[in-house]
Amino acid sequence: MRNYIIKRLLLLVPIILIVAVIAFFITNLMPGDPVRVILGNMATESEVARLEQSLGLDQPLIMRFFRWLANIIKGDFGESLYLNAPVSEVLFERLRPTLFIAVMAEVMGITSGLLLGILAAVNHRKVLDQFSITLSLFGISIPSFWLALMLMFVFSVNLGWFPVSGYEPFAEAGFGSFRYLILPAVTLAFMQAGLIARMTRSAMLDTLKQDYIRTAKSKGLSRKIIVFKHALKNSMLPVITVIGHNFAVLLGGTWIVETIFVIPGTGFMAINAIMRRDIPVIQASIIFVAVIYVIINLFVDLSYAFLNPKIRYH
Amino acid sequence: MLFLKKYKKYEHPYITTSIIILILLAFLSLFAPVLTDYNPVRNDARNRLQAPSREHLLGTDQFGRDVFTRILYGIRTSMEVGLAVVILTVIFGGVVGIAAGYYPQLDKVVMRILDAMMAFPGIIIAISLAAIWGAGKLNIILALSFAYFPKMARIVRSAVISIKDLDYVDSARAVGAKDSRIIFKYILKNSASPIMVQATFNFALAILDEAALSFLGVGIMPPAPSLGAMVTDARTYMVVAPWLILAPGIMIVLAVLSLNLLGDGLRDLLDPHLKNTLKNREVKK
Amino acid sequence: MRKEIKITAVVVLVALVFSLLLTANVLAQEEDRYGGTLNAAFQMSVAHLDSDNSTDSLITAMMNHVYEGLFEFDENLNLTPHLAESYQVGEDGLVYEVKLRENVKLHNGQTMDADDVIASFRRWLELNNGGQLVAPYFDQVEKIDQFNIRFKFAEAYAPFLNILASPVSNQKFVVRAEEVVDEFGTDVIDRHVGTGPYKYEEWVPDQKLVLTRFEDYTPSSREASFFAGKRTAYLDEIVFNFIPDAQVRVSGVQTGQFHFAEEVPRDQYPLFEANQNIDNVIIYPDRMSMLIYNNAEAPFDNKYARQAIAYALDFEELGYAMIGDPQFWRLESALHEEGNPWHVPDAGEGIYGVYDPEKAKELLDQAGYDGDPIVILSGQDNQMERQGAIAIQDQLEEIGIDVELQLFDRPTVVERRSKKEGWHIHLSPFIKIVPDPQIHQGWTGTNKWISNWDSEESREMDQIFAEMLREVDQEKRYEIMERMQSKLWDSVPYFNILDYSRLHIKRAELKDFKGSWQPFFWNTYLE
Repeated sequence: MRNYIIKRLLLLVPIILIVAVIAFFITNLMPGDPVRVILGNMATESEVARLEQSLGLDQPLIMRFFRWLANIIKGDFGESLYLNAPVSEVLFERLRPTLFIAVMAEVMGITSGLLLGILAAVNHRKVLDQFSITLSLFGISIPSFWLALMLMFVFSVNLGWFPVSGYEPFAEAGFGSFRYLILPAVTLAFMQAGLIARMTRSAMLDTLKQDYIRTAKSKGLSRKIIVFKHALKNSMLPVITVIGHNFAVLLGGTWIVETIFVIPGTGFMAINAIMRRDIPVIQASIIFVAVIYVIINLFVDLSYAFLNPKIRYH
Repeated sequence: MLFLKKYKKYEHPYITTSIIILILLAFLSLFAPVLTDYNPVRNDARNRLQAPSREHLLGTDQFGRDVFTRILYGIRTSMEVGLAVVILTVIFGGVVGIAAGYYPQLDKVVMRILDAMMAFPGIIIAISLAAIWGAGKLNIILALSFAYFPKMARIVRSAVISIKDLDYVDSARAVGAKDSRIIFKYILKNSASPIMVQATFNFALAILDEAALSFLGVGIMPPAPSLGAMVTDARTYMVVAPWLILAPGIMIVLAVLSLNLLGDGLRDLLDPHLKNTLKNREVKK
Repeated sequence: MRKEIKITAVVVLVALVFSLLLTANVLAQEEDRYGGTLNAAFQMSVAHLDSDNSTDSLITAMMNHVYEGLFEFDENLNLTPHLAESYQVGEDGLVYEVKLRENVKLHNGQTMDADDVIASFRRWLELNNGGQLVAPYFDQVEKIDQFNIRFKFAEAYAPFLNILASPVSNQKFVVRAEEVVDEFGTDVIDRHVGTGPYKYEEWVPDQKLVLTRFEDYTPSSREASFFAGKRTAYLDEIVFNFIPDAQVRVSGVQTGQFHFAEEVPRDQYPLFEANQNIDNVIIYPDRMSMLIYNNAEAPFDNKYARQAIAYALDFEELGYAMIGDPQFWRLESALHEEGNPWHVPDAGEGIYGVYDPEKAKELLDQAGYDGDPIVILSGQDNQMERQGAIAIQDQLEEIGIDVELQLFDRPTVVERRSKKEGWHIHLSPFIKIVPDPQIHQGWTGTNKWISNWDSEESREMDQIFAEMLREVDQEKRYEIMERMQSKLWDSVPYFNILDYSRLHIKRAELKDFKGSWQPFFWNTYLE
């Protein structure tokens, strides 16, 4: 077991290295000139050259790559071209709303997904099952940006239950800041719930077919105990896997909902950075997302191996 | 043959429904020029933002173009992009997956790279690539294929590995059959199922992601109709012309829904074991 | 006798009490006006807040509350001394002597004097592109005494004072505290000490700018009229929120989250009219949509080809496609609108707004156009640019001209347009409100970024332009203006398609708001 953990941790290194390479080259291969955007249309060639030099953008690509790599190992992600602050600082500031949205979406998704999945499995082939299948299918089929706009239209513009956009940080508004995050989280939760419901349902269906369940039934155990105590626990493994693997997708989803609801999180920051070629921020955002995904996956795999000693990485 | 036999054996509400919807969509997109007289890109700005009427079933957009027409052609675009992405993903993913599964030396290197690629949500890779290569249908197809093929490669690789050491393959090898023959005869046949299932889900994903990319402005170039771009355009007019945003959104949902249904149905049909084998940690999006 | 006295006394008393009550009421209303935090929604965010170091007009618009100029424009575009008390122009325009107001307080408590103005001016001259227009003609600035300054020119430059107050982009000259100018030099300023009715509080990039009332503000004694005259800070605090999405800006005002939103979709005008809580603010057509040619690349290095496109387009249809509701746009051929002293009534006659595809094709033949696709380069983020490009492509293709449409995000557009090849047509919104034709945003001379224009015709234009610069006599200058307009419509290095209005909206409880070319929030209060 310990060897497995060590092996996986060691594997992180080459993966993150490759991720860094990909992040750097993707960013710096994008056409578009941030310097001219900063200086405006009337900038002269000499002004452009001057700014390029002070930003270090006139160096050859390979050199910039190694300099950047050396810096990030030290934890220095450079300074944003537009936000006038070190990237690591900006990333840290924007982390909270994104995490809140992601966690809220995940929690909402898990609770409703589990519920829906269990209901479906227990009522296999009956109306409730069909209903749950259909609902979860819709969940994974609706484009998140469209859903966000629909929700905004109905609940914010027409009903006025939630603010349309923007964000007040926790420090200022306390729990009031959650008002701004509910619709974005719900948008993302739809898809999570759909995925989790589907996985739960199929895992439960398989488990419920097993012999030991039949034994428990014949023993006369109540349905509730069978479902929750035995079946659910043993179905959790694939569900947890699905949750873990979809966390990356969830993070990707925050980019879109943050943009639509104007929440100053890491996703909005990343999209803005791409739109105006804020190179240090783009690089950092890409690495950030990838690293989180890799770490979460590691977690999932480890807990997986932990919970099911039968499966091991070859 | 086995496929059809299995099909007739059980009831398949999912597959049937989804195939019906998909045939309908295919019909709409193929016969778009016949079904509507209007040109999807010709402007008629003096007639902008008209509500649905007899002349314009779904009204007109901000350029006076007939929305119904654009929806039909937009479906066609989504289908084209989805199909192209699926084909490319299957080819690339298949080749890489088979190579990795069959030749263990390759496997180590390839898997590391694939793992790293899969560390990014597909949409982010696609956005970045689209930003680099520029917008446009071809670039979107390439960008999405690039984002999806690692997953496909992985699936193929798993299938290959599970087959590779089976008895009948070993005996084929012992008898001196060439690698390529083995690959084609046994491996492809057995990985066909997971490939088909994943391909269907990729089709759905491609439609969603193309819409998202067009929404963000890095997708299909105007004036070509794209359902996602139509949603973007409609945002500004949402309150005065809600039909502009409802129609394309519903279309996207319909297309994606039916494809997901099909994928589910196929998976149930082809290999019930695939559903949630602990080894196969499949991701539906 | 006593009875009369009594009655008179009572009447007087009543009158006194009445007028006291009235005054108290008025005073109380004035008092009542004070207070509140204004939330305004703007569409773009800024990279920093230093107007000398950027061409972003939003920086100036916001910082107009923090900084003031020596001169400002009023609502009739009359140049008005603001931080200046008075001025004199001598020696045929070679010397300007400016007297400053003497008791104007800076945000740091000190009194503004010539040192502050001179330091700010030198910086403006060096960095700001308005200053760079002036610099080639300028000699030096001298301090006469603590409140008097002399500006000396090597060559007469008629637009000088107009540029100082310019409402275009970032061009305006503002007075900053000397200590800040010394501290930052040419680097981006992030500590702000000005003389304006509001002072800088906080800036969160991509989110908001917060300003709070400057309690010791010293207003001008002239009558308030847009940027000139007395500014009263009723609001305690002003928060500029950066909200790129138009619908979100709109929804914010509908729900009361914002009191003001700029640039909202004009198509929603009827909705706002119907809403009791929202007022429409239509800014009169102060924007032009310019069609800009790449004059260095075939086919548009030939003036016949350039003229051809003007004939090939149905301008009215473009109006509907680009802007929409006709109450928000109008066709206008001159660079200056009717009512502006520089308006030339018959500019572009015979070509502007004339839809003649046949003639267009003839002209293209005459120019030797080989049929290669024409590349239209435009930005995605601006509605006019985007919809205009799509509409123009459609119109040109309908008459058989091949067009390649390139819509990109702003950084890519900026990069591609700065090159001499690869694009043919570009659309850009220009500001129409220009008090002086020679600080016209589009007219900073030929061979600049907008035109890539370098030919016999461009040199002729340069000459006309130089003549105008030297001519101090208004009437003679206007004649030169007429020549310039007719030359512009003959060689057409670029042309304006139409003028359009922007629509802002505000909550009904925001009172006394005046819609000008840049939104400002002094003299306006919340009920």
